[in-house]
Amino acid sequence: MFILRGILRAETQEKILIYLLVRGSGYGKAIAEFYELSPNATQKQLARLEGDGVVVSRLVGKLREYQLNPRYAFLQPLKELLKAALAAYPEKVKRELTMTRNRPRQAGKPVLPAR
Amino acid sequence: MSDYKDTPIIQLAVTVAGHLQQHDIRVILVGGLAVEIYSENIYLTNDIDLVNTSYHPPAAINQAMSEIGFFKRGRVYVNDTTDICVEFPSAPLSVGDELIEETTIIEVDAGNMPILLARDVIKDRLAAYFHWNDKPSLVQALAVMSKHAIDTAELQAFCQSEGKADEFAIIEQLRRSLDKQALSSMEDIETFIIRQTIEQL
Repeated sequence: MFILRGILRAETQEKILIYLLVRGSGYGKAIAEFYELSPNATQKQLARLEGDGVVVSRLVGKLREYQLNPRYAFLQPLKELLKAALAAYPEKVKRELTMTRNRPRQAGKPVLPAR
Repeated sequence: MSDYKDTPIIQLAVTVAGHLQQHDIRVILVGGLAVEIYSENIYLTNDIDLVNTSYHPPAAINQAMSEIGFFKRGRVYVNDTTDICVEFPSAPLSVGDELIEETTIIEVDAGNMPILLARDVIKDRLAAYFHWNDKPSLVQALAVMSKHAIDTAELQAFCQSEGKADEFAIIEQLRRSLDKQALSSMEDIETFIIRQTIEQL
């Protein structure tokens, strides 16, 4: 599914940008796992987006965390475009992007599927 | 050997709490199962979280739990016949920066269950949403609010005390919208929140 084909260079770019839009930030590995993408392809596109100034990154420990560049000149129109693309995504993907558990869970407490 | 294979979670919670009470160990139900009870099964969980308010040492809890077939694995108590696990989050009972001094006992089919007040369950979930941007917690808070009123002034004061005064108006608006649409399932409330979240991006 590549809604912004013709505007963005690659489907992976669209997925990365939508992930960062909804979740605020993300690590390359987590983004790749979420969409079941190739980690290498994801890192390559993240590097391109960073080179183009669309995203920025910072090191958190040994990991690199990405977010949309708040100084990107066209951030607002980009967000509107991504929101429009997101509206066309399946409900399941929207739900998984949005309804992620962020509150801490005790180490060792088993994670079980909801009843 | 205690077999809980077919024991519903609320019944199991009542059994555990009742057994601990026989050892003078007082516990209060918190967490996801408290949400499940107050949301009237809109939200479902596999965890029983009990705060030990009589401050019994871990050895006493281990002993009592072992008598009903639950053994410690890491930080939780498990039994091989069920996926349900029991945990004892640290006392004291608190939500945000507030110590909780009032709790209640509710009557469920399986018996009586000592539990947080509904308003404190709402606050607990809202605190998780405020501080971790945990959307599922917001959904759970709204699910409980759909069944149990919380005083508006109290809700506003809580938002302010958590440093989220600006969130109060948003939460009130969400609550009113949900009431108006009479949404009654977790999925409906989630779908509503997802839509709102995306609109506000």
